[in-house]
Amino acid sequence: MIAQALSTDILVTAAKEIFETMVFMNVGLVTHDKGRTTDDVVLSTITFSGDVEGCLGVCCDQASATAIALNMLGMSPNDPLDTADIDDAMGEIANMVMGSIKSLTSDIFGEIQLSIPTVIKGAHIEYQLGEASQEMHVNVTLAIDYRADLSFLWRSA
Amino acid sequence: MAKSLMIVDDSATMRKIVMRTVRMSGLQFDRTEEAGNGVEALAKLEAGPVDIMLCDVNMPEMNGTELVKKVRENAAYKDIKIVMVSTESSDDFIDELLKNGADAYITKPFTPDKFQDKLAPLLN
Repeated sequence: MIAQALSTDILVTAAKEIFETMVFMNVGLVTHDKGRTTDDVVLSTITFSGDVEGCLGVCCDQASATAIALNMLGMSPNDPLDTADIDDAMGEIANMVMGSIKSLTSDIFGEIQLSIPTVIKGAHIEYQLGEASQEMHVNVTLAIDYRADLSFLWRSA
Repeated sequence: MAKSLMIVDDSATMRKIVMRTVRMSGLQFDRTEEAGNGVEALAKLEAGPVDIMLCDVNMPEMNGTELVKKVRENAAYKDIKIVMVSTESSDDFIDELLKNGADAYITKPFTPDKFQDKLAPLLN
């Protein structure tokens, strides 16, 4: 019943709220989908627990993650940016998008607690929640030129 | 009158964003401090209290909830205004924080106008 109650609109709404308010990047849906970003990515995840448990993943290529960090920090493209700044920014993105999802799903999921986000980098990163879990994926464009792949996985605790 | 601000958040990125948003809101401070968690914040307060603290809730070592309690336990810090900044938006959670001593609460995502609305009355 929980799977049927959730729509990818929740991911899109949360992404729009955060990226457009805090990152100043307009969000659109990827229309010519070539599949999920897999090579040389930055993946930020945050887990949640309660009556329902799961995780949110925000996955970007390096260029998109860098653009997100620069925008969040109000820096120009030529400003020096540490890897730590990019990781931190991506962690905050996952934190804030999950906060928005939590607010949007409070009537469905009840009270849930969020973890501190984790950021990893690599290629062909996959994650799963095991049996009896549901998932949904949305790929969005950010300011036209960039992209983020959002994945939301959950199951009854 | 000189006003001082401390931003407490384990994310260096978020501390910069908060600082930038404070500037964009038009609020002016003569001294600003930053701390990465509650323990660090308390150590910096010992060197000199501030007028207002903007605190994240979820932080390692000492979270925002515990930090508020510690600040309120110390009579020397009774005039410090504490504003919590977090993604958490449930009424129960916010009420609990306010009951424990926070003066105001700002949810993420935030805008300069939100900072102006919440902080200006506390500074005046």
